[in-house]
Amino acid sequence: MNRLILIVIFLVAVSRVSVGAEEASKKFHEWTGSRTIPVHRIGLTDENGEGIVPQYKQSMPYSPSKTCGACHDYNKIRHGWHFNYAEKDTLKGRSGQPWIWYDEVSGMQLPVSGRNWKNTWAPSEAGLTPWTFIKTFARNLPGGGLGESEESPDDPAARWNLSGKLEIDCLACHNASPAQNHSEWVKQVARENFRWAPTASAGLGEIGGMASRMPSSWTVMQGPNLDDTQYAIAPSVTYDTKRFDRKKRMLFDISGKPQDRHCLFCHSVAEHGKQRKDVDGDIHTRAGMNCVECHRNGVDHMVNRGYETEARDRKDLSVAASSCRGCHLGVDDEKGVAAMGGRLGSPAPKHKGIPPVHFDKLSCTTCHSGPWPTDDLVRVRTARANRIGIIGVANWTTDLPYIVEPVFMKGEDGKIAPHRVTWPSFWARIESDKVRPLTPDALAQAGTNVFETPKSLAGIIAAMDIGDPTNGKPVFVNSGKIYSVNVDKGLDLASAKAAADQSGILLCKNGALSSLVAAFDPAAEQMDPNVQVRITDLLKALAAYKAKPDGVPVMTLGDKVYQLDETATLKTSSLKDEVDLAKLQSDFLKVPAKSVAWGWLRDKKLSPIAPDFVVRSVLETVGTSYTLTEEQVVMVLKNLATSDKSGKTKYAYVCSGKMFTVDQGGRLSAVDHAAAEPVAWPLAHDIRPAKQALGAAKCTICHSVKSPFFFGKVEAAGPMKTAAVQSKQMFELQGQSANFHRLFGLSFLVRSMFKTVIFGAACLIGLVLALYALLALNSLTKFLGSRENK
Amino acid sequence: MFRALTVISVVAAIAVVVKFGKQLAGQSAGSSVRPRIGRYPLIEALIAFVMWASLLVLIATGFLGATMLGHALSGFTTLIHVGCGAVFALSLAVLAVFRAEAYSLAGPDTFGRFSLVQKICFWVIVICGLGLIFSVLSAMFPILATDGQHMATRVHKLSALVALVATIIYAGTAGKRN
Repeated sequence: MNRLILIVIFLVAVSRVSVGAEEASKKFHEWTGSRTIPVHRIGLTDENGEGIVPQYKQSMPYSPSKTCGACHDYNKIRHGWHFNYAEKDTLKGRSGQPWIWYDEVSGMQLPVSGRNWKNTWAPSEAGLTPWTFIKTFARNLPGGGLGESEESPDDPAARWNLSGKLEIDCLACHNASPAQNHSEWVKQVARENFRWAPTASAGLGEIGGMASRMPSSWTVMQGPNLDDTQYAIAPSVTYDTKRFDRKKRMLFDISGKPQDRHCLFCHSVAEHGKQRKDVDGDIHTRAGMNCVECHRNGVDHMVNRGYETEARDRKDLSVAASSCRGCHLGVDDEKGVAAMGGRLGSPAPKHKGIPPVHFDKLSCTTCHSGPWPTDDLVRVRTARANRIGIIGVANWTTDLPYIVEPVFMKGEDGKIAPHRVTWPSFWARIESDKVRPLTPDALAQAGTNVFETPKSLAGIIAAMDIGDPTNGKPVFVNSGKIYSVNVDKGLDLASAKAAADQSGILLCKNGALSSLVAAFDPAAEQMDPNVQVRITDLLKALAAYKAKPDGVPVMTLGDKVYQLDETATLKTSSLKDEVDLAKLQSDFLKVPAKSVAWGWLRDKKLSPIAPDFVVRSVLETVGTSYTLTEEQVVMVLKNLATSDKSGKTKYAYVCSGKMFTVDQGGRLSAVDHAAAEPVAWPLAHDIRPAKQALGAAKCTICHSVKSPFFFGKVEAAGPMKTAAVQSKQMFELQGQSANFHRLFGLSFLVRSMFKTVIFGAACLIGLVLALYALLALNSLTKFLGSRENK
Repeated sequence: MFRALTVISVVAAIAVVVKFGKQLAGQSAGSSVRPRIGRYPLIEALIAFVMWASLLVLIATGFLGATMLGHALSGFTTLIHVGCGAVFALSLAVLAVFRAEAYSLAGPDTFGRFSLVQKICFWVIVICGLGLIFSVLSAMFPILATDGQHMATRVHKLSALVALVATIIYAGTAGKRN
């Protein structure tokens, strides 16, 4: 009996659940066919489902999932292409640009993807937790995905309770208002104000405070931090109440088709060093099209990516109509025509004189997209990798990762296509031949005093910037180069040059260099009081420098040493009494006898103001895109090996297409390794006009002995300055024979002659045939004539 | 499709040659009286040799991939094919001028070497040669769009196939006359 009751209760429960689910699915209406955008005058709802009263000071930020999700199927949307990157068995699709985890300090640029794309690392393999992934990459994510993670014991460093969830920011794409500010989104993400980011970026209200500064015990329900009104200010929102009506509703300016500017915030690519005025843009956008004309999606938000085999990958033939071929030429399938060509008024290309083999072996983008191939690859910066487009006080844009295009290589569909390419750089632990990337945190100890040499030297220079009567600024001078401290507390290489005999830390005023201390005679019995004060102040400043090495700061001039005694009074002594001259470091020997030099004295050993290796790495890296030298890499690898107690683990630095390890002689050796192989993804934009397509004017653009298309050099680069870099030519990446294409290229030198010869031959044969045809006709007329006579 | 057509055509041509080779070789054109078999001038013989040799290379390179390997011409084979194509075109044109009279269907040739079937084969090869040349030439100028290019390729293939059959029959009947 009891069992029967239980079964009845179970069946009733199941039926209630199914009815509930049906009701839920009914809530979201099918498109009625109206092509207008409904007016979105709606009230805001917070993450708890409560209506927002904008005048209330403790208001919560609006929640897209609750506000937009009231009418739109948020649960369906969250599986769209922009959000499903972390789902189990998610759609892989054709390789796209991976996330590149870039750490300037350690020289790491690690390609990361949740889609198992070739030569990328899954977030978990790279050591990224959902929290660190979002913290690192959410600046260019529209929310959702890992942004909606929750507290987990596997991720103790996560602070979801403070930050809130980073919900899908619907307005990031659908807001037609000019107030939509993606840089504001980036700022709020950096401050861990995840739940406030959609409100801030849409300009619905002003956000104050930073969750990142709040103690981990704080929750949003506690409201303002009454203990601290200066630093750890709790995040809060102040709504622009003028935008709300009396029913607490506000008018959203919604565009069903997102505007290009929203796409371009994350999908911009710019040639390094190119002026904006010189960018023509994509031919389709110049013709008035928007990104979403081709990259369209339904309610499921599975955006068409536009590549030819996408329909097969997604098992949806309608997708094929959005590829280049689908739109311009149409797509046939076994059932008939899947899409007619000429869609959206696209012209049908005739490709006159182009042998059809090109269409079998090349993608459309090969001839029509990207920069025109030249001997040198074009270095580009992308929004997601190099952080372009983020506007604020800080400079977000980075030169690295090093990305080049167009690399014409064989794609996953077997066709040659132009690609963007970058080479991974990371520190790795090798155990049983398995390579495991090390996170920047894991390198903190090994890299202490090795990384960030420009900052280290800049710190010393800044310490000596105690003001100067002539308003000069201290700079570091070496090998004719002048380095000054920049706003980021790093070093900039000045365009001015120094004389060969000028060296060390000097004063620079309007490009003119002088000593930090006014000239004086070290042999004089009485020192100028002003000079004495100046030297004393500088030595005091150095003594107070936080990161100073062991030893006391000293100044040397000729055979004299100047230092502070216990009472901080300037003391002068003879160099030979204070210093073991046999141990005097080379840099001091270089300083002319009449010049002032600064250093550190300890146990009669005089060290230069900055370690030699710091100076060497500054000379090699500052003013370039490199951040590491081989010497620094050797030092870190040795430090890592020393820290490994088992002695079984090997360490390596992967960079520029090679894997670097320290050999038994302590030298850096480079080998090829699968983990060092480049990551490449096909490029499609900008698309050039048909007249600028490869081969439109002549075949020899590609079919010549030295054409960049086949023989262009693809040379790796990375954060480390080294000569051991991977170098390949395009034909290798295309799986083509170099000798064949050289010979084929040569054949174009005689192609005109070839055409002339066979045309002449055809004419001759035609004449002979015509002659005999006429003779045959003659015979026929004679025959017919003779019959009539008979 | 073309692969099957090629195989069937070649097999049929060989079968015809094997079965009826002698009869075909014996049928002289124009007259039942066989003239004396003479020798060609050296230069003419040389051109004929070049023409037949280049035709053999073209057949080998062109049909090997299409029938045996199942894919279109590629790589060095293409270069050899294109190079021999020019030689074939030129030598065929010159030979057509030199031997038009000898291969005339109207009467016995000067040297009395060729049967009617061989003469027909020769003119078939000449006509196909014209088709082969024009299909290549038209594809090398910005005249034909992609569909036209495909059509030119089909014309080229079919002309080549007919020329191949003619070549087999010609070769099969050569030297079989009594």
